[in-house]
Amino acid sequence: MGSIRLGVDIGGTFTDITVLEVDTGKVTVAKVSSRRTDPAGALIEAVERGLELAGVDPAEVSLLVHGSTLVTNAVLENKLPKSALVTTAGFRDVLEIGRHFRPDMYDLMQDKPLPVVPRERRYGIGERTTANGEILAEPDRSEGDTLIGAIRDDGSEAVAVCLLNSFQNPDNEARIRDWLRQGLPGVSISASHDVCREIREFERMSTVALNAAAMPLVQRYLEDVTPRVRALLPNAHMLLMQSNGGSLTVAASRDYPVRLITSGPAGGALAVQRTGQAVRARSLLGVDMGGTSTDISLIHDGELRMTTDGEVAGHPVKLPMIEINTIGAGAGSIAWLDDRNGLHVGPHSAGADPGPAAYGRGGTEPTVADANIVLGRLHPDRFLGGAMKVEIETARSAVRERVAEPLGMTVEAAAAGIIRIANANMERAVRVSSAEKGYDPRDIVLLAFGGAGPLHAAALARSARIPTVMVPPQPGVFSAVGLVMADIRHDFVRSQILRGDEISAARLDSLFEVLDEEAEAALARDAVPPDRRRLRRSADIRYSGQAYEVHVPVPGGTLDESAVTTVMQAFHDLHRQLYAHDNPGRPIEFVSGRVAAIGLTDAPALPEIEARADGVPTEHRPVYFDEMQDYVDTAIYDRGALGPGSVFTGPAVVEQMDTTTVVHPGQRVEVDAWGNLMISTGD
Amino acid sequence: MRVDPVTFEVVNNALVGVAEQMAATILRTSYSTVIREMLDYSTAVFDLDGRIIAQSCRIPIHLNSMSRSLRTTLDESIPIAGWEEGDIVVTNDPYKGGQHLPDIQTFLPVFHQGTLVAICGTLGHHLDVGGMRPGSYAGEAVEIYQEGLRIPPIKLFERGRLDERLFDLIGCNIRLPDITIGDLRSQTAALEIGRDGVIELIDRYGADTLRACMDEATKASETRLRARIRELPEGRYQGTYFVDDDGVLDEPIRIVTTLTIEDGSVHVDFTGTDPQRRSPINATLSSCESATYFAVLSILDPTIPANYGVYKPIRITAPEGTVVNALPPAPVVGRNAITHTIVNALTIALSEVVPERITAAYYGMSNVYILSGDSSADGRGWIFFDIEVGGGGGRPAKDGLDCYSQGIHNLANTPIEMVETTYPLRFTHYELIPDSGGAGRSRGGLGVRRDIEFLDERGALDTQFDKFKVAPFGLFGGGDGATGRLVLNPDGPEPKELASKTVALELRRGDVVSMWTQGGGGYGAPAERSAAAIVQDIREGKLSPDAARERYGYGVAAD
Repeated sequence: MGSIRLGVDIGGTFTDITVLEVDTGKVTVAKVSSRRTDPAGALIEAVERGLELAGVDPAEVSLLVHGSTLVTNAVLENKLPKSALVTTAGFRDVLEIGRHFRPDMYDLMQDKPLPVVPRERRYGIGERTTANGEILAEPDRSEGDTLIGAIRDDGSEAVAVCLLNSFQNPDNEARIRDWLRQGLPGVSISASHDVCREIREFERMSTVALNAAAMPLVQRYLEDVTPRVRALLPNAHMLLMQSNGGSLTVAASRDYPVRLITSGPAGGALAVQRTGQAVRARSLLGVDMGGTSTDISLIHDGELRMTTDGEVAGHPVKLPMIEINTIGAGAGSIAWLDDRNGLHVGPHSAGADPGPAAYGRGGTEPTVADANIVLGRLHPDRFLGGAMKVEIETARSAVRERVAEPLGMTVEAAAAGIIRIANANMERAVRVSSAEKGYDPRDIVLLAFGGAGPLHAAALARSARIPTVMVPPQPGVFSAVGLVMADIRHDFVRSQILRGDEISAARLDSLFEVLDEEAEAALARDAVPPDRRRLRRSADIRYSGQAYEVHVPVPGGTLDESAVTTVMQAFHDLHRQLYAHDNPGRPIEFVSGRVAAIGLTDAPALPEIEARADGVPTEHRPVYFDEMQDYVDTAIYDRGALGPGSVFTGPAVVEQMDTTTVVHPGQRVEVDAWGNLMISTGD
Repeated sequence: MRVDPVTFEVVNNALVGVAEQMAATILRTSYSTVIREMLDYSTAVFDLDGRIIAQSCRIPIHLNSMSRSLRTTLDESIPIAGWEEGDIVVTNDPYKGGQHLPDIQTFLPVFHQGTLVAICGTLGHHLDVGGMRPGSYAGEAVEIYQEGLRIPPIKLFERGRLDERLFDLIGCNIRLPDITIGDLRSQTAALEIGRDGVIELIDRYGADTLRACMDEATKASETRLRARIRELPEGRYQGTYFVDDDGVLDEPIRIVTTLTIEDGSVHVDFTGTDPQRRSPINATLSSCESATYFAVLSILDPTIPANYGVYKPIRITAPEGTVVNALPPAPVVGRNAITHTIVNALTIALSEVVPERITAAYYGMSNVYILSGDSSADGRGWIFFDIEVGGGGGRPAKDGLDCYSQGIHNLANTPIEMVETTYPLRFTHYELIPDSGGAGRSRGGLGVRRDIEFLDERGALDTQFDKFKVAPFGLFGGGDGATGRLVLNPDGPEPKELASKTVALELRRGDVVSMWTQGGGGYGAPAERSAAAIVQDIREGKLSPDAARERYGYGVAAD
């Protein structure tokens, strides 16, 4: 077996690769352009480039973990393959009606998301299961045959099946699924209880509809990429990154592609968690700021914060995924004045084309990147390592004409204001991810990555009262770094509502036993050896009558009464921590049991780097800081010249190929043993 | 003190964040399906004059209600000097700024170093507040006293101490006190979260800056709305529209709006509107104002932050004793038949002025239905309260939305599986109704059919529907949307059409209640509709071939 691991993250613009040599801990990174019509080709090119740079033999590669925006982009661009939906007769419009709540109270021209399956391919079938799992009516085989004929004629490549109350008893749903599989060879079939066995019909239906529609797409891609990877990397096993921060085998990815939906950002969040483990930080906020948006994730007490209320383009996805709060604030976000000269930043973005005014590609509106250029934070000649030509005068005139002059401010004050507002937008999201959930920001490390994260992080952390900012060695390809560290993961859930006295050790024990068995079986299918398997249990619990549950950890092994008491007490405590009150006198309701099946891939620890002499500034230049309301002579450092032990104090700017880090006056920076910049924000 | 535009934007964003934090707390911790699934609640931050500054995105009609209630409380009941740290004031009085009794509002003064700086508020629609009928929609009420418990503005908490006696008093006047009091606790917990958020802001920016930003926020919205109004041609415009009936007297109720645009302000005069009724179809002034503000703001510029400042350029004349400004003791629980009709009447008035910014009539009613039964595990009975929506009006360049919340309310449906797990009810149908959208260049949105089988031994149905007789109108040549209907046992041997305002209809095991909500009106002449759009509607089964022929002449010559 070789000892090289690869992480490849295919994004919209770039395909990033990380090469990890497990024995030495050496990490090599590279970037190639993504290919819209041939994503696998870009993947192969990235692998070749990475291996060449690292100087390693392809035969030595044992594992390739792949993150992809394939499914997300198909959903966002409405380009999923043609699919059908089968549901209980009388309910085929549940998918289109949704929850009928509008996100904007006042906009009369807003639209609702188009359903994943249009009405003409949504079919009802006579059958009914009650809320407590009793089968009132079984589906009729001849009606099933008619359905099969209709779907064959409508040209669907995939079919989702979602019946009412199938989360309680899936027998009818499984029967119809099997009929469809027999009757429609070559068509992908997916049943809701296989994908997400949870209460609430619309959310479950949305999840399985996305899953089914993505199946042909992912299967075609995997059929293309798998042999090409095998030809290049004869000894490598390939896994795909899921939204839950674990990886998935190629075989399971074909059946459950909806699990890949936030694959890319999940890689970033996982890298945040693993970095935290290495440097022994228990609570971290990951801030991944790119050109058009910022993704925020939270690690609490060493664990990634998960959610089951995710969505993509307005379609709910009711599966455990890393909670990533995405906001429309990025380097390309446009600053604008409303008709009363109120200053706003975003959500509109100049994107990559025309891009910020400073790119000189026709953009005339000032962006966050332009503001950074005006203030001297981004060096015009060293943007993307000098690959991109930047016009400082164009940036200045955009800020002057569109913001500074109408407001009667100096160009610098206007640029600083744009950055403060962009930071405030991010700060609101940071609070949603941290303070609102009952976590104290003073315990948190803000880990900044993405092309623009390190530019803003020190100021953002200071206003959010976060004392420490960390900038990893390769912030621009950090998500791909996370991929090489992913374990295999499957999530299992079973909804079974138990109230008050019904919550007994015996009932819970048998529920979790069933889940454990499913979990073990899945890991066995993935050929994970028994000693590398880990099962993690949790329960969704609420006060009787509430609709939202608190996720409470549950111990492994046989559950006795004292274990149940501990779980219940943990529920009261968490409720108080999250929502400022609890109600110990109220009856409790157990809603679902969950087991996460984890197959350890034995990710290595991050390598420590040898200490180096203190880096010295390469130059000094004037940079504007709004706390000084003026330009300040600022030391400029080359990131490559800094190593463990380097210490300096702001004002400073650290430049590297893929990003620029800004350190405010008085903030202290120390490079730690792993090469991370650790900035004390002074709060 | 003047704040710079950057600090202003930053602080305002943070205030909205505070309101959102309060909303998240209520959503996650409340007990009744009305709040937790339907999302019938709102949260906001106010200045010391009771003016609303920042709000969470929930229900348009609540927002002025909270501001009006708080201002009335300050003027008439508890002047600002009487608010102390740790107090929480509660009220649901429609005649003191509220709208109807189920909406219980709570307010908490925020102190910073001993000085009062802001007020946080929440409003929740409660499942039951007593009165003649379960769910507190008493369709036969002739006085407000029959509608439930009326709580004038009083302190539920005094200096941090809960007055348990009040909970006892409330608890023994309502049907399911555990749920209502649990929801009230979740509202008060949200207030504390809001208070902490505001205090943190003051710690960072100072009380003076916060005050200045709040002041500036209302001025900014006012100026922006005035600028929009100034762009419009000055003049007088009229819109008249009708409510079907009041549920007791079978006569339509006329709502007359005369809108005068002049010098950057809008005057809305309701003179000519019908007198108040001896039935629960009456609106207090607060409801009438909310509907008017919503209509003007959503049509003229939905991007202006909807704080107190947008109320100022809008002047309202609503004669006392009419259905838009009812006097006590008129019952008011069904006020939304009036408020939705106000919005659609103002749409008619403004259709001449800004045809490109309005829609044809939407379904026009918060279609309330309440099912209740005798038996439950604890023998105390059960109440299921729900509201269904219908089709949106056709729009200048887009079809109306099929079955989507419109107008002064904004509600989610209750998941079928959640209802069936909680109540002895089983759904038999939840589908769009083909042909229910008015014909037009832009078609009206479709209504929905929702059928429920009753599985308890005995129980009752109460409803507040409307637009069963008066159709949602089309505009500029568009056809009307389908009217609503309510049918008992639609597929049985003797289907029975029910009145829109059905009161205490007795139900037995196996009865099926079938509701058909209203479609939206069409916009523009049907002849201008593209063939592709017609073909797609037929393919999706949203338009029948017969209707395509009758309404659009499609397939008559060709095909």
